[in-house]
Amino acid sequence: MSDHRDIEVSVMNTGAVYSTGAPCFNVFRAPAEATLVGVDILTGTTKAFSTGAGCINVWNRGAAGATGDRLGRISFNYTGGTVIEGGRSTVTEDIPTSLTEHHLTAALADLDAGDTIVVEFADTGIDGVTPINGSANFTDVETALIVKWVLGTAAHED
Amino acid sequence: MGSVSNIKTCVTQLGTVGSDLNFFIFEAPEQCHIESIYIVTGTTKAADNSNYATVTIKNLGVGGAGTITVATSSNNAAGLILTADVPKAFVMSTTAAYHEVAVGEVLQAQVDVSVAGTCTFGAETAIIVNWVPGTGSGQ
Repeated sequence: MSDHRDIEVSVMNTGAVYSTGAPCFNVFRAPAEATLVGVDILTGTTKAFSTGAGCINVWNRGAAGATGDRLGRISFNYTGGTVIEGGRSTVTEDIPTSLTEHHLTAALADLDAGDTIVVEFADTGIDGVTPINGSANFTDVETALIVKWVLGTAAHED
Repeated sequence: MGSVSNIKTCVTQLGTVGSDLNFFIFEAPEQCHIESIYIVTGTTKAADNSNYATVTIKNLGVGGAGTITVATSSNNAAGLILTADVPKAFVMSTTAAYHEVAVGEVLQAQVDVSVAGTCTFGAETAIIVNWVPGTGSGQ
């Protein structure tokens, strides 16, 4: 993060996510060439990783809404001996947890104008085991998503 | 504020608030100075000592346990009316150091309503944080 200057911040409150399926939140659209610094999640109460919960993906859908590139993922599912990415065991209340720190390469961070970033609360854990969804057990009323970015790309910073 | 260069803004939608509730409104991506904070609603909330809400902006720090009050706003009699569609400035802390936010620190809006279910902010409620990178105003 310290590699960047002039960072912009965008905050979206999602509240508790109760939808079944894989609800998605469009959290950012690049107004011009930009570099994604990171996407964080904040929750009002601590969330322990456990069975029965899915994972959160961050996607760059591009400008055309394609499935796109995965920019980040954290899993909340121990099932099948899955290793929790980053070795995390909890998301601690009131402390930002990065969704992108283990996936976001410099190349992936470069965004074209019009690229749209989506955060997906997926109903399948990282190991493919279908867990419970709709229980909102990794979100709560205070849950927020935070996008940090800078104008310009590594090759062309403004 | 008009003389401040490189000012940035961050808008967070709160939506309807009818009971005491907290909202994350900002995470500092680098050392920064909070220039001002505003609240805006879609309907007018009269100044009223029996039907009001107080919003306190806390700096939770990087560890989530911080308690510094950065700014406050209320529509009680002393805090004055909250007019529809007109952003109302929070009263910033008189301690200038509290306007400085270090990288990774989180600001939270803590809403305290005087009468749950009666004193409500409507669906259009939002909080706007104006900030500048670095320390002090006008960087």
